[in-house]
Amino acid sequence: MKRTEKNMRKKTIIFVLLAIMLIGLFFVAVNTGGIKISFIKLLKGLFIEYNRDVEIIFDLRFPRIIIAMLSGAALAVSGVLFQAVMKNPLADPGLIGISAGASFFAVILVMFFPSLYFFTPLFAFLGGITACILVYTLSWKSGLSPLRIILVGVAVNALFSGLIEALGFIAGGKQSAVTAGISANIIMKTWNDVHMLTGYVIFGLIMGFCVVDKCNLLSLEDKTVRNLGVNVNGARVLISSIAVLLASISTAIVGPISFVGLVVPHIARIFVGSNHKILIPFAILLGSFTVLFADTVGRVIVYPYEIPTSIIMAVIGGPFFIFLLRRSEKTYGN
Amino acid sequence: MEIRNLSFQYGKQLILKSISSHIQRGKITTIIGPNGCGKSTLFHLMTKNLKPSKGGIYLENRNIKDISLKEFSKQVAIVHQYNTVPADVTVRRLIAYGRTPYLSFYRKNNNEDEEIIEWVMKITGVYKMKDQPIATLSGGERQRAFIGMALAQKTNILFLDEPTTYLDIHYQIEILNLIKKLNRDFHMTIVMILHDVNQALHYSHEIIGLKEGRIIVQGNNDKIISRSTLHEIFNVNLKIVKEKGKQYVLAVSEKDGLL
Repeated sequence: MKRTEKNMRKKTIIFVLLAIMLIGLFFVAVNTGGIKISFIKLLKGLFIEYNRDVEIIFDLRFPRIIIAMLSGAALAVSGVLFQAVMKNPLADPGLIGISAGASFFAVILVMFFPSLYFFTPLFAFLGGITACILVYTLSWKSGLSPLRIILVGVAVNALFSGLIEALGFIAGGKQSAVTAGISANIIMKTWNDVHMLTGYVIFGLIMGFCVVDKCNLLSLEDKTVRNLGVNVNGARVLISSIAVLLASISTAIVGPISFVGLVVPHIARIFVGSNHKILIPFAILLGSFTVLFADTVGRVIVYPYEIPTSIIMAVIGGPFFIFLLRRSEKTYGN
Repeated sequence: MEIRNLSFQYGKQLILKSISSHIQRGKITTIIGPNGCGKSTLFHLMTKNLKPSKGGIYLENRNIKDISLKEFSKQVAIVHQYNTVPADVTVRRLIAYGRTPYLSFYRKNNNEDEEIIEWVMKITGVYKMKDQPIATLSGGERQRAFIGMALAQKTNILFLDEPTTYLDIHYQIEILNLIKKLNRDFHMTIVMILHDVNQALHYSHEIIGLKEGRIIVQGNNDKIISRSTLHEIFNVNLKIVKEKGKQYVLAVSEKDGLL
């Protein structure tokens, strides 16, 4: 009994600490850039009296911060779900081409049917599903081997990324405004984008909470899960769809960002363990923190220029991936 | 449980050749046979993990292919030979997974489930370590925890696929005694695969001897296990000795040197 209580307390403390850090980071992000404002002034400006600086911050920085947090949460949970479904610690929606597939479909829509702009998330979802089906079918060989998924995923990712770039050239020699708008950055986002993202992400996260028990069971052998009366393939399809939804939606708004779905779940597991009931909420917080952190760093590091979040994440995530790959050889290699 | 004219084909290879058998209620039945005889296939067919090519398996006169996975999991529990679980799952949580068939979106674990989980942990002797992660357990304790998960399903029938493999002799006996206790005290019908002929003889009421996809012998163990039947199943000459009215198979070659 003592052991579990102590464990619970430790996890609660970590949760609270992370939440405080996230709030702190939020205010740092609000204050990063040309206009500086004190905490009190900000609260006053938001809730009590009009302030021109607060208005500018509210219209320019808030959407960006909220979008960074929402897409971070979505990508992190997407990674958790993919890892559960594929029994693969290296699965990440960016690395295995889901985000690139979503992005490709979104770019096609924006280029050829600009009037349907509002349906971008839906189209991105279709693209994500297409990429997911490709990865599953091509890597299926009487079971899903972790390494084969990654290899096939890298190929699918390369294919869609190449197609996106090809579209960029077709659109006019150099990257056109439409493709630039959708590929890989959180710059110049408005409240409209926030509204578009919020509903889908919240829906996806709630769906994620609904499948925590299934995610936990999938860590057992498939046969064992079947004999507990669970339709294993059905569960796989459901969880994969939720994961694709979350990854695609965030891709539709901020472009493909790799490694969030890889780095965040791993660190989260070290802190709170493998139980998805705790892992998923923790990944939401940590994912928000990570992407907001990467975005803020990108804004300050070469001020007045900006480095896109996806690039910051790639620079952090690349070495981390190699580290995991080397470590998992010990656990999963034969 | 009734097996009727069951055949199973994998590609062109016929693995089970129209076998029929009857598993007695409330008894321990053990399947023995050489590697590749089809015993694992039979096991997976009986547990709905494979579909028969011909014939069928009937549970109280209902073909198990017509029973939903969920309903089946309330009647038949299975302990597989090879199990994986994340390192930090506790014994208690693993056993609680056994209640899955009774849960739904609306019904979460309640007092009854908790009582069953407690009961299972006491029966299997893992109560002391209920809050420990599975990874810290010994092989025997691990196996008992997985048997516990199956018991939490509260079924009348329990299948075990080579429950003693990977364990040393101390834990093997411990597990077999637990199985015997489950049968004696709770009248569970038990079907298992064992490699050790002596253990099969002494811990079961009935033996099914398989070879090349056919049932060679089935019946009360003392009557059917003889020098000739063993030779027929395993293609090796083994000596049988009697001690206080019980038979023991000497699992070493009769002749010196190579066979």
